[in-house]
Amino acid sequence: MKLRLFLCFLFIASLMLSGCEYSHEITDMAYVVALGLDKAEDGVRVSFQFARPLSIGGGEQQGGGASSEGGEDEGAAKNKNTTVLSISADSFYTARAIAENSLSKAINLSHTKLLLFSEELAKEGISEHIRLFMKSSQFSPNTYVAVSLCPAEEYMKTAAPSLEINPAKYYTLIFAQQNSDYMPEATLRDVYFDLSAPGSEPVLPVTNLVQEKEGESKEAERGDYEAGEVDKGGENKTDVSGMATISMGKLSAVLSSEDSVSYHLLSGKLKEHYLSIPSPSEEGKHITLRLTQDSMPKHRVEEKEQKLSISSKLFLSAELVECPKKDIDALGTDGIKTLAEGHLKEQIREFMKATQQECRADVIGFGRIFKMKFPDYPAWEAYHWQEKYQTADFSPEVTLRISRVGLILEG
Amino acid sequence: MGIFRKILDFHTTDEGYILKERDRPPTSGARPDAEVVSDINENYEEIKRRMSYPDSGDLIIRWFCAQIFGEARDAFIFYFDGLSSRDNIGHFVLGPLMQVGATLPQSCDEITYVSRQLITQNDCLVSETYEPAIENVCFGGCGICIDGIPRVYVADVKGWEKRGVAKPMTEGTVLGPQEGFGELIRMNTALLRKTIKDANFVIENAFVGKKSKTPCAVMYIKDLANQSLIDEVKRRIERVDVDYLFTAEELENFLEDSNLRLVPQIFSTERVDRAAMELSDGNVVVMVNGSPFALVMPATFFTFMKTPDNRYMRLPYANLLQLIRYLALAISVLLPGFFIVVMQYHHEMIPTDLLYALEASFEVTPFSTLIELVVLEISFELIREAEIKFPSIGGPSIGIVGALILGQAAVSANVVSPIIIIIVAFTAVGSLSTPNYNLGITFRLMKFVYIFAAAFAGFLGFTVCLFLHLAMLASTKSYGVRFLSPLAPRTREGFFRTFFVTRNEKRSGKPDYNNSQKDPEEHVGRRARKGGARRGK
Amino acid sequence: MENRIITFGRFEAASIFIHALIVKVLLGLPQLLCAQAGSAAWMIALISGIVFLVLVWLILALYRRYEGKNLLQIAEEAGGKVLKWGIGLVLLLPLLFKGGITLRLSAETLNLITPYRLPTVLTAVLVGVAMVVAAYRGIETVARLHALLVPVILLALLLVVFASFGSIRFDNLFPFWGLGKDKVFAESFGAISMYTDLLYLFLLYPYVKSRHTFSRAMKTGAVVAVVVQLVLVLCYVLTTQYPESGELFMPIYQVSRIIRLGDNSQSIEAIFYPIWILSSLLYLSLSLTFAMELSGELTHTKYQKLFILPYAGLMFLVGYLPESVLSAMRLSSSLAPLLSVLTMLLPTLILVFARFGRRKTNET
Repeated sequence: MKLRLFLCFLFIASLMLSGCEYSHEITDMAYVVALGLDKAEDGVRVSFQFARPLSIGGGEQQGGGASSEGGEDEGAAKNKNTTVLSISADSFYTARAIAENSLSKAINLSHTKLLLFSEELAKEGISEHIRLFMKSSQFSPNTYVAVSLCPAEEYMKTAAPSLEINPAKYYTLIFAQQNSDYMPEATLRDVYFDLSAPGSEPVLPVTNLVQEKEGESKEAERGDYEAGEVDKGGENKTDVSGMATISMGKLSAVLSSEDSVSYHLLSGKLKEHYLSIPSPSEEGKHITLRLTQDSMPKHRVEEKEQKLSISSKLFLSAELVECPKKDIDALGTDGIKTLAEGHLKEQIREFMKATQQECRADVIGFGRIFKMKFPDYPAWEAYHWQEKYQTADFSPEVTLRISRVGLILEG
Repeated sequence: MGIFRKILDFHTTDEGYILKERDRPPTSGARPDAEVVSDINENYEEIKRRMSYPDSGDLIIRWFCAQIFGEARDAFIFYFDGLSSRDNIGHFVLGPLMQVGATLPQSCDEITYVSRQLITQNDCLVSETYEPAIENVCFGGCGICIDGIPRVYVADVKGWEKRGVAKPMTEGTVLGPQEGFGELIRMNTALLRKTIKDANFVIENAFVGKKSKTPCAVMYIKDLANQSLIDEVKRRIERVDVDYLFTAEELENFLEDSNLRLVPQIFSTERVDRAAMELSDGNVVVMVNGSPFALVMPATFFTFMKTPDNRYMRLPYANLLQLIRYLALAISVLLPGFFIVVMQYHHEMIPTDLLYALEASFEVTPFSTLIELVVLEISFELIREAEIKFPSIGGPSIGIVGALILGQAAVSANVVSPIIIIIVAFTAVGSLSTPNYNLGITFRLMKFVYIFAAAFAGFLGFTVCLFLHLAMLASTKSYGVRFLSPLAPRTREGFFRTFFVTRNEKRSGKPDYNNSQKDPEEHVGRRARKGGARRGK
Repeated sequence: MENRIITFGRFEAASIFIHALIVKVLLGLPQLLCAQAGSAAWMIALISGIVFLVLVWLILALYRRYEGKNLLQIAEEAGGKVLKWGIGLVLLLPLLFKGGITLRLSAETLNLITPYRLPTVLTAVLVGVAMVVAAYRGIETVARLHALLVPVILLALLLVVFASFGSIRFDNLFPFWGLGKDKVFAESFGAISMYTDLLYLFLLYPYVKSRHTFSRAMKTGAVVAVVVQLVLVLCYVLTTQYPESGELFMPIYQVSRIIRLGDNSQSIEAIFYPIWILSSLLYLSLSLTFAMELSGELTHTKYQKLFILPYAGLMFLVGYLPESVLSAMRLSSSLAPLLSVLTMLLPTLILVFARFGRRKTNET
């Protein structure tokens, strides 16, 4: 009996030692939805976008706009679901400490959905920042990462989701790349692993503010445009499109949405893409095919006489969704297939050329396939894959199968 | 003078009744082994003295003339009004003694003549001493003294008012028999005997309480139950050292391994079929007169979690319901603590959408999560107790009042958050779904420990508390059987047969944790036939 | 068989053995192996596992004649009380040292992976109190707890492995020889030092029913532990890339962090917290309980529970000697070869001596 009492006392006393000091109610925390990093004069400008749960949970207002403290309310004053606080400091944690000091609540980063680097900062290098966030137990490795062509702070203040009130849901849905292939999906974990290992380089989606041009607005030609180039109208004046390639930890190039499609085709991540080819028979008309991936592409990387040769075979299946009658009569499905295959081959070749010359980054990960030929890691490191890749010969092959023609039988 | 007396009386403090020091009880000089004498008047005086006649108003002593071998002799009967059946006394005691004795020829000595030829009641005790006779009369018998015969006869003419076989009040099932035990021990043993119908079914009589001499029955199936278990049960019953004991629940406290353990170590049931199942598993059942609950020993955690439904329902549904019960138990003890962990320490576990909704609801309430949860849990316990105690007419309105006031009004007034109500409701439903009331209470109380452990140290405190709770459960024993048998220690039955309901043909018949005896030709598991691991404790 | 109180059976003994061997995997073994061999870390796990299994089979064969005896009793038979005390101390010191280091590491790692920061000492105190309470309950209770919780822990780890299937990339296994063939083989044989918890095999016998039961339990435990270890190391190698795989702290926790189950899944790694806490509690209570039992046997006292609090204090002292968690890990790694000699080689030699040395003495 005495022993039991003693053991009970031990347990209760040890529990009491903490005194509830380390607990935090959820109402004591400020939850960061998105984190933006811009280049500052002597360090980094960190922008924290906090959610306002009372507005979100109450569901009173639509959209997830932002208003900054002391900043301008720019059309987004109609909704107050988030607020942006920006601090310039020499490092991220200094900025965080200053921000916490000026807030009534403690900053909680465990629900951060987006990590946004500005173009300027990305050009200087993102490796150290990525390592910093991966080291923190608060950050989830599944946080999305992106590059912003405009200052990250501006993007966060302007982003105004029109179909949902929860900003976290908005970022999750947009950056999960569920509905289109015009931008890649990049999480913190993917970027972290791809940055350090030779044999692949990370790609990030690109965000920008919409450039409103007076007079005519640019049309997205065959869907090929960079982020912010196309004025799509609507309340949301931000755009997410295209991809940024990272080479040796630094932003090397920004590619268009069409390049992003090529990236998905080569890496086997294509979900669904509407390929639009100008009609050879009728000017101003288009042949449109809905492409899906039949099976994973087969890549072969060989070295012949000190030169790398990369060949890729893509297996695609298409549905003919739009085609002028003249093209059907003139070409038939076989002709359309050949036309599409040629078009895709050309597109992929251009993309590969861009990655070799402009980006200088193996974004597809051909190096991961080639490293299997090496017996051990030192031998692989000594090969200097990065340099060899830039002079490699690339030969794509596209096998397209027009499996459906829609509800109207033609061709 | 009268006025002065009144003034004096006015100033005198009347202290009312003063409890005097305990007097030594007057010695009646009665020896327990005093023998009955032939002289009826002496017997009469002795009976009066021992049974406090005429102070005990319900003791009836009736004089009559008994015909013994054609000779009229003085005699009297004594019985308690209300305990004995008057009809049976008239037909089977007085009638034959007064009338029949006149005509029957003498066939044996007069002592035997009375008990074998005159008293026609089914059971008749012939006592040489006063004590056993008086005990039987106190239990509904009718005592008979006849002049010249140094014996007291007691005819079993019990006839008090009793509750019939009714539905069990605390253990309801959808399928299966709906018979429950009553307060009368003989009725209960009869119900069991007609269910089991096994000649090896033994019902041993015992008495507890030095003065109350409450009858109880120790029941087991002779060729199944472990003999050392039976001996241990009987030893503990004999060791009970109290003057008065009236119910099985009181006896349970004496028969348990330790009263201070948080979990009960004896299973009690009101159902006849459940008691019969436990007997057929090789367990021992004890019943006490005056209580409708049968005590089953040994009892493990899985004994408490099983219900008779397991055998009556079809296999998939029985397993599904069994899973739900385990889930209910886990929810009843772990959910509030886990809620505190998530709300106060591990916010990253909450989905972001839900987090915003929760924060919006908590923002307007004045108290912390811990305070709200503890206050509501305590309130719910109060409502539950009130509902049990309140008469059945008013009972349901307590629930309505509680739900209205605590639920709706508190939320509307922004005193508590709606999510707390949901958590408390889930916890309550979980504890109500626990099959056994005693076990359910244990876990209901433990949840407060989890709540505070979680509040002080988050997941660490919660898990440490869980670890210690499991350690406590693992070290608890019930008549030598570990409480978590046959899971830990693992016996031949294994995990699946313990947790789930198995097909009838796969069941090996008896559990092996209680080391019950087995017929070697009976169907046993394949591994046992191959001479696998010995049965373990 | 000797007349002993039989307290637990095959399942409990196997659970104890499995858990004692896999705790180090949860602590950081995959990361250590990746740092040593890169993408060929799984090969080290496989080769050292096979060597370990051979050693277990050999030990069980040597044990055949000593049914129901622990190593102390065998040592006493072979070399008298002096050898018994020597072996007793040799087994006691690693128990206390490993217990202390694990106490420190578990407190520190728990603090690192949780978003709130309880003081490490408080975490260690709570864990320490739980292990003291479990030790007071006795070896039977600790064994039952293992029987209850080890399947749960293994199931949770299996869930983590299955859930991480979406993140697996088979090219992470290449280059095939990792950091080089020589390194792989050299490290493989050195890696046998991670099986120092083999010492529990020498202490469990008196509590298990029979030779047959003990043998089956230890063989099952050894095979399951090696398989679990291999699967976890393989999972880690497949989901991470070298060189990062050699740097990540708490590798299995890191694997659970990168699990994605849809877009709205939030922090599946929360499953890891209770698993890790329970695992540490089981291991520490086992160490303390066996230290107590060992001391009771050495001193022939029935008041062996008096050793619990002093040993717990000693474990705290040992655990908090290193300055930081990194120095604690380094200390543990640097002493691993010595510990493996004390806990694996020396007991095996004692068994060989007792088995063959005695026979020669009897013959002469």
